[in-house]
Amino acid sequence: MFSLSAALYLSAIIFCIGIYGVLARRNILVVLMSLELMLNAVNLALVSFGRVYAQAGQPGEHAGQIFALMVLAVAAAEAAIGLSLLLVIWRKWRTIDVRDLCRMNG
Amino acid sequence: MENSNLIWIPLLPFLGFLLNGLLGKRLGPKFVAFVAAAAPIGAFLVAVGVWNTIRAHAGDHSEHFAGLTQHVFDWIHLTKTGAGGATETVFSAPFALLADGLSSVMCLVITGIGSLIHLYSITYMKGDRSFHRFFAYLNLFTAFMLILVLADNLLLLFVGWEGVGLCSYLLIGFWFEDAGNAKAGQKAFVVNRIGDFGVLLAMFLCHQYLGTIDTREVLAAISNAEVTTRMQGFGTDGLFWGLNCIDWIALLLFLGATGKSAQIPLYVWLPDAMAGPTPVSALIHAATMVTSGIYLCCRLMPLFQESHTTMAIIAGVGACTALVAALIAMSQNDIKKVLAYSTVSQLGYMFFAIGMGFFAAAFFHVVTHAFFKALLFLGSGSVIHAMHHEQDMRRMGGLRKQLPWTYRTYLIGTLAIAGVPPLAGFFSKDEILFGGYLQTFGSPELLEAYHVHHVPAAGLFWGMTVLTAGLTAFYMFRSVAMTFWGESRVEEKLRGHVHEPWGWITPVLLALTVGAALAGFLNVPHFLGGHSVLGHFTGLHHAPEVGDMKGTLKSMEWTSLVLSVLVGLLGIGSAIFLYGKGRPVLASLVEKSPVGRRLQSASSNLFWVDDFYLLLVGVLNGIAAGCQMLIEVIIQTLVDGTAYLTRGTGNWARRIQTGFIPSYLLTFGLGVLVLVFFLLFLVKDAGS
Repeated sequence: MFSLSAALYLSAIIFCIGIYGVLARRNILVVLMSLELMLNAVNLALVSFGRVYAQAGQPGEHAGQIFALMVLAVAAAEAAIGLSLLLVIWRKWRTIDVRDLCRMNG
Repeated sequence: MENSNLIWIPLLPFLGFLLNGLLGKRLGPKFVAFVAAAAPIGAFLVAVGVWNTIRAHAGDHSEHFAGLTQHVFDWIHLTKTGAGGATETVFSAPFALLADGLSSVMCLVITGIGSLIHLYSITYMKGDRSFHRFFAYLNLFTAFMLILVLADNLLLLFVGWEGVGLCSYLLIGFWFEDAGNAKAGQKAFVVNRIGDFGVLLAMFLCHQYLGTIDTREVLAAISNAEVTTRMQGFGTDGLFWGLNCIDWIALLLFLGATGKSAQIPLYVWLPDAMAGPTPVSALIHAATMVTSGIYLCCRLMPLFQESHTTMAIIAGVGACTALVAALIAMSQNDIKKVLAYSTVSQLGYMFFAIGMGFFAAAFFHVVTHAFFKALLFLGSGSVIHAMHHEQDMRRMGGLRKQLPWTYRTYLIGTLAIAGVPPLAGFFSKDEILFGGYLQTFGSPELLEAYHVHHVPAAGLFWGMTVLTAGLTAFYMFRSVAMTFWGESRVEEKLRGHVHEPWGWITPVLLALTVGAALAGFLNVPHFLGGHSVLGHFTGLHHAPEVGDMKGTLKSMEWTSLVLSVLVGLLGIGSAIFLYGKGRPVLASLVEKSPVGRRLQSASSNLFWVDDFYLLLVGVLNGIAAGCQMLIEVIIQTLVDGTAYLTRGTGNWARRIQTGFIPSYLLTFGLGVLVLVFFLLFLVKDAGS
């Protein structure tokens, strides 16, 4: 039996784990992974809503799934850019610790 | 009458300035010397031609001759278009030159004596590092002086007036490596500025009330009854101490003259100007520039004659300056300082003559003074040159044998300034003293015949100038005695090396001696068998119509003459008695009496005038410092306060920018939360 609320709770938990990872971890690689977690939490919420509220034959029948695919594509692009930045940062400063990357300090 | 040669008189020295100033360093001292001397000599030749033309026309009485003019170019010309499209000139100051009797004689003096001094400088300045710079300045000075003299409007005259002031500043501070020389130059410039301000104001008044600044038109406007009536109303509101506009123009012009011609209260710069090279002192601070104040008065003679108040002030200032400067000169030990105060004193004489109404006598004294004072300065320069720049007369003495020609020429110059007949100074000084005598003892009818107005307190002023005549003879012979007579007080190591300089120096001295001896014959008065040639030629003198008062006049003339010669001889005699043969009589006399000591200290301290001026300047400086402090307080509270506030805010706010990425993300996240909260709970109708 599919429970929307359970799916949403799961989604929220994963999202919070992602937030925690983004805010608290020092390794940029882990931060990027946590970002993926947040995106996938949102994907889960989207497909869950899609399953419950979509009506056959109506416009937007597959909107939830399509949105999730869209987010996956964006996430892939984001990961590619993020990882290449990471590579450049490593080459330039030999560190991927966010605490060391504070050149914008005013 | 148009004459296209006039422009060459100032242009030749100006071209010399350009050539020497721009290329002098590369062309070498020989070429610089040639150009520098050729320029004023060329100008002199042109001036002789101009003078000759004027002389020919002035002798021919059939036509009215107003001098030669040349309109070089329109300098400032403002017009406005009135109703009906007619253009009307609002203000016009062309670059136009005017040569009449007065200015042509002045040009001859400037270029003639100027040429001699240029030649003298070639030897005097030999080997100086800035040889070309010196001659460039000297040529520029000559050019500006000639513009001043030849200008036919007041604005162009003012260009020359400022230009000679500039050159004077540059040449006083010529050896500017010594801070004292540079300071002396600044003092001269600043003091002169006070006077220049008067000339500017006078020019404004001329334009405002007479509608013109052309010298001849100004003089024509004064005799215009309608203009005169209009101007009399100028002072009726009591704002201007009851003086009318003409009084003010004359008074302000005289203020300018006191600056340039070193009169009380602005004479203090001239003695300091002796910091410049000696030829400069001879040319600028004795023969030419300092006489431009007298020239200005002579050029605008009718204007000054119109203002009785100003004339009385001029007479008083002149007489006081003559006496005070002579008193100071008596105790000076620097040979050039004696001559500087002597110059101030002689200029005072000239202004006294102007104040008394005897413009021709004043201008005559300008001419003779140019000769003998240039001679005296160049003679002192010869001594200084021979003594390796020693100027203190206490370390001279007995130079008669080593510098025989300098001694002879200097002695003749001294006799000339002392007024010994028949040398130049005798005639001109006698004429001035006679003017004072006539003002004091002459009947109103006689004054009327001479076209002069009675000056109040003339007797007092006359007495002062007679006393000055004696003092002049005294201090000049004192300087001769200290320099040339008696035992040698020259330092041992120098003593063997002192010798006559020759080169150009001694020949120039000889040439000027001839002038100093003979210049007096230019204007021999009628009662001595002459015809007052110079006075008539310059248009400053008109033969008095004495009628049956001839006898009285003649006896007065002779009394004045005998008196002035006697006073001069008395001065000479007492100087020889006190200083001759190495008898330090005066020194012991002064030492013994407390009054004498006090007088001596007053005189050698220049009557504390400079100290008084320093005090004034100190007060002004204090006020300025107070204002500065006030302004700084305001700036600190307002401007600096704003700056501190901005900087403080910035310093505090920049702590937000940690550069720590998670903190940005946290902020971002919190922002999103706030936004969501806002949308969900506060904007309730957002969905509908």
